[in-house]
Amino acid sequence: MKTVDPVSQELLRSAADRGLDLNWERYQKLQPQDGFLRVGLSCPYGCLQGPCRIDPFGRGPDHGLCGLDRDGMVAALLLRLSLIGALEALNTIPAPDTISEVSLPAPLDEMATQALKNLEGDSLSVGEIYRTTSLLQRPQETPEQMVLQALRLGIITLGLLEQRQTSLDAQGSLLCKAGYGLLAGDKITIGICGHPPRELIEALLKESSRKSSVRVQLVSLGDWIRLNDGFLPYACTSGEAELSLISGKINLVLLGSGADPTISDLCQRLDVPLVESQEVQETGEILRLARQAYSIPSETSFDPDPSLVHKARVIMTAQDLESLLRKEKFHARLALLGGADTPQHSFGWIPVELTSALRAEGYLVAGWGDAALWMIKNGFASEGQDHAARILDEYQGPLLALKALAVSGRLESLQGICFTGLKACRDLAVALGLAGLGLKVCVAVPLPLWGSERVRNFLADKLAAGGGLLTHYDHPANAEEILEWFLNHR
Amino acid sequence: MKVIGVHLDRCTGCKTCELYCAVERGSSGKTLPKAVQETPVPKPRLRVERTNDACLTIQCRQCVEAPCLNACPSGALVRDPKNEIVVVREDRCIACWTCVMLCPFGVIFPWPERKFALKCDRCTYMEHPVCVEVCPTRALEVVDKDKIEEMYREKRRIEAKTDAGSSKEEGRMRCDLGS
Repeated sequence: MKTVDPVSQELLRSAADRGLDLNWERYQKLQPQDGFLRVGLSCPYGCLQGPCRIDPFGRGPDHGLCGLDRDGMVAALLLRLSLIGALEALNTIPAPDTISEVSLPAPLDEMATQALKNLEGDSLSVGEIYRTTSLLQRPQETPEQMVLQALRLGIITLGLLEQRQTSLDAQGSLLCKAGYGLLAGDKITIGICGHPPRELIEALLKESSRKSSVRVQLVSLGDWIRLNDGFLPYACTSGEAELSLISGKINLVLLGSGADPTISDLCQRLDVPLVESQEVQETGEILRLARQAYSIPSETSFDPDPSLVHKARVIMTAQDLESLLRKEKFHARLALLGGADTPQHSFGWIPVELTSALRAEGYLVAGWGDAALWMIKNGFASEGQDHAARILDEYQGPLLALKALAVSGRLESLQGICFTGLKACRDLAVALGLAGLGLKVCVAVPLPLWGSERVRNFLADKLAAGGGLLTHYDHPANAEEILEWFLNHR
Repeated sequence: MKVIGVHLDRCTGCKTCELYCAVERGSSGKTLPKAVQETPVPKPRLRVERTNDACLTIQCRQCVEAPCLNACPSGALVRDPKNEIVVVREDRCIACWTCVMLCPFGVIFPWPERKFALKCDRCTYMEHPVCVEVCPTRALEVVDKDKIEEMYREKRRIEAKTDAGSSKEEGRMRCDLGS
């Protein structure tokens, strides 16, 4: 099954009838993806003598042209992914050049200090990110040093995400709506993909709120778009953005930075007008195009049930989460679930199954990213419910919960952090950072570490020495396996 | 008889066929990350070889007059009457490697740890050969042996037509970027 959402399944059937290939079909056609890279044995160094690859079964070459062995290759790939993750986090900070030292807020700073003792080296700095790039020019360090550096970059990434948060206005919690019900009825819908400038979206919202014969609405196609008083409503999760386009209910797409190239291709194929945010001259022109597209009858008869919309509050600050937990007299175990949709699983399967199962086991569940959108879409996070799932700000994710628990001295109630799917390297860097801080982390999709036992063992030993754990699987893990992981780490 | 044909112009030497042959036919885990941890190390039934100019997958040709078949002292090599594919009966193989020595194409491989010879049997008990399924450039294809000569003739005809009037040196190309 491609997705657990019955409405999405209806749209999938419609796509198949119309001969439209979506991300699932592309994923199938790409199978198997590069086997050498999947196990970490494709050389990640910036070198033009290659690309060198090492046969995972030991029949072919066992060293790259420069002499790098399989352990070095796997460790370097881990470091490279962690480095990209740290750079992604650095790019979200308004003025990264002004930051020298990277730190975590109290009382997490103590955990970081302990972790750094275990990971060797001095305090964390932005300069360390740049210095790491030199490690990936030519092989010069041992695999162990590379793994240590990858873990340090993970902690730096956490610090950078915290830094980003302090540069934004602190707000308690913001309202968020999600579900296909947003596409019900007669209205002009503008879908937002990626991250257009906030001012542009605000201007569009203002312009579209003016009285007109047909209502105009803006919906996000899976990206978390923050406004002054809430988040833009979500028609779907990021994995299902293409599906929402084929519904025929999106009259125009506004494309911002970070959107997948497939969106523009699909818009062209479906004759959906597309506007790139950097080319926008007037917001009125966008609305005119959307109205024009709306006046053309849709090819599809898709009209979802308007009740398929759920609301939730997104917790933006640790103080807010902490006071919520205090109000609820929270003594339960907390499980954190987050991450992106991945075609390695049925979309929504892990977050939906696991949230239900963990709640039944008496856990309080908090989520971020696509996993959180699945919780909202299924009504798990709606207000007024007993033990409603908590939705965390996408950027801070587990860090936010960590800060709240640490402040109230209840870190022991955190039972584990599960990344249901990884898309950006930032997620991997965060997972490494959290495990490096001494927390129990599980990643539900395989990591490219299977090519080297030495690297896996060193990583496991190093994390264990600091009280941390990073569980990953040699297959896409199923919900039962992850549930067992949570239950076994009580 | 159907065999696996290789389009030489499509093979990039990525070795995906080798990897997944070892995973699907040589491992018990059946996934790559599981297979790389197994002992003995899984082995593929085909090889990707490379010269300076080209690379290609080599695997058993399922010879009509198969020397391996005639030489096997234990009767481990047999021709499947249904599809004429030469298969190794692993339970009968005594690991004498006579077939390995006699194969004119070098496409039977010893597996001393498991004590039997490995050769491509076109995944005869599966719906499709795994190498054909995974090849990212569709360089491998299941073809009827009788039609191969016909395919070659057609290919030679197209090549002759393309090359006529062209001074391009044997498939090599130069690309000048800028003026």
